[in-house]
Amino acid sequence: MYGLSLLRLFTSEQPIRGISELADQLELSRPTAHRYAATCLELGYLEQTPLRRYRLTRRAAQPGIALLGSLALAREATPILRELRRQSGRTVSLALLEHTDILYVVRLRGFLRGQYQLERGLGAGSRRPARESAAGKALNAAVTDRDDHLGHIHESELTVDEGVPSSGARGLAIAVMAEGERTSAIELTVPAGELSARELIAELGEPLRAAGAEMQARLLEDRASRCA
Amino acid sequence: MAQQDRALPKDPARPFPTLRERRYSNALERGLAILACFTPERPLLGIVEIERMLGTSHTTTHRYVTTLVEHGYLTQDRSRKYRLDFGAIDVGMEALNAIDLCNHAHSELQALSRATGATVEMAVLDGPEILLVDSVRARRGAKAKPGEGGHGGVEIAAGSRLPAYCTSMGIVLLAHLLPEIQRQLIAEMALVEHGPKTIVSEQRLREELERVRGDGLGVNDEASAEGVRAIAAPVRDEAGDVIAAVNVVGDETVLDLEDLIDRFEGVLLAAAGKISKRLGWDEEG
Repeated sequence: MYGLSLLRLFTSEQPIRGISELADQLELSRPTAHRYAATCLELGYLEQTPLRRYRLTRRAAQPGIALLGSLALAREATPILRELRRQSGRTVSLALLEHTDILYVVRLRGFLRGQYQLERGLGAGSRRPARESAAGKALNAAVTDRDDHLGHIHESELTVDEGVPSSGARGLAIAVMAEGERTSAIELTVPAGELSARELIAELGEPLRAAGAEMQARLLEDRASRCA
Repeated sequence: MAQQDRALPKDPARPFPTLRERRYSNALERGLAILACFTPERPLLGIVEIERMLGTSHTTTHRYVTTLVEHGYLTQDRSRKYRLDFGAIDVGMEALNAIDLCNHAHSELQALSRATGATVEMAVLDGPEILLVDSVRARRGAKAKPGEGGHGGVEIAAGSRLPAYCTSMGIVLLAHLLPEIQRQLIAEMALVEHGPKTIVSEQRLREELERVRGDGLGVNDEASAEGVRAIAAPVRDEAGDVIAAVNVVGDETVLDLEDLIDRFEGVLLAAAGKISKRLGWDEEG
């Protein structure tokens, strides 16, 4: 599926690409890369820039949007995450562990000082190394001792992460586990300069714990009604 | 020519493009078409359903689906039906995040500027300030005025910050916050005069926010600078949360605030509504 690999080369860091780089990256000849690009152009998955390079259209994201939209986990979590954003003004996300990465399935940008421009390239569908985020650390810790805790309400630990220094972000996360669902993590992201790790926990620890507990209760309720 | 090149092979068992079709990849078209069959309402599909939707043969469909599973785009459920796998996200989601608010809004802002002949701007809240994220300047020669933060003819650029309390967009963004957060932000503000009619009393500011929350339109009547007037409307996301505001800045033909509202309120609200709709907000729903 080289053709699909071509679409995967477009990222938020490199949203615009020319034929030569596409061919080089995929180790394809230029005519072959061109054939794939022309097909995507014809079908409306790519569009051409004034300099005849390519970028994705919204249509290209449809499979990803469809996948995230069909995740029960994301549907259940979204109203809770929205309320957490309204109350805290901070960026709120839901993340899953995927091998050594985390995958954001919901990401709502905050509106307090510095939030809008914090980690602007990240959104629903973005991945990042698990060890570089609070959500990743919370998920790794949770997966390790998950088996001990299934079946009863699990008291997850809050995880703080200083983030990559250059990102300027600090995160606070909590894992949410429910039988029959993938373990996920709710993460709050704040500008590192605005809140110290201690202030972050003092100010947002309780609302985050409450959101995690509410989400877990919903998932369990959901499961109970499915099994009934 | 192009039509001929992309015509599907009559023989569905012929999977790969021949030399005659070298400008078009049928394999890629099929792969994308199969992925596009899945939606949030229709997350689970069997081979037969995919066949019917695409009009392809069983053998061909099966081969493509198997390849998509091998590459992590699809996965098989316990019921033996297929659903999208996480590989599907990498096809286009990452770049969607580069297509942010501004990409959704820019063409509407251009249309609004054309319809009004005025400068229009869009901003988000950044704590007690607003952050200008996009703007379209009035046509040259139309005695254009700089935006809300402009002083002495100096235009402000995207990325600039302005105090929220003395701009029409800031008033809109503050008005729709939860009371607790609103109080917290107002407490951080030093309410100082920027223009002849800046609101410098906390009480007056609260009343103004209350009015805007009900009525929707934020106004700047010489609050940010002498002679500057602007009106702003909220932009909502799919859940109805106000995430941005759009304004129209009055030019020299505007007599007063009432004149500005009379002339531009309708088109402004329509433009803000269209941007909200592109973000998934359904006004009736």
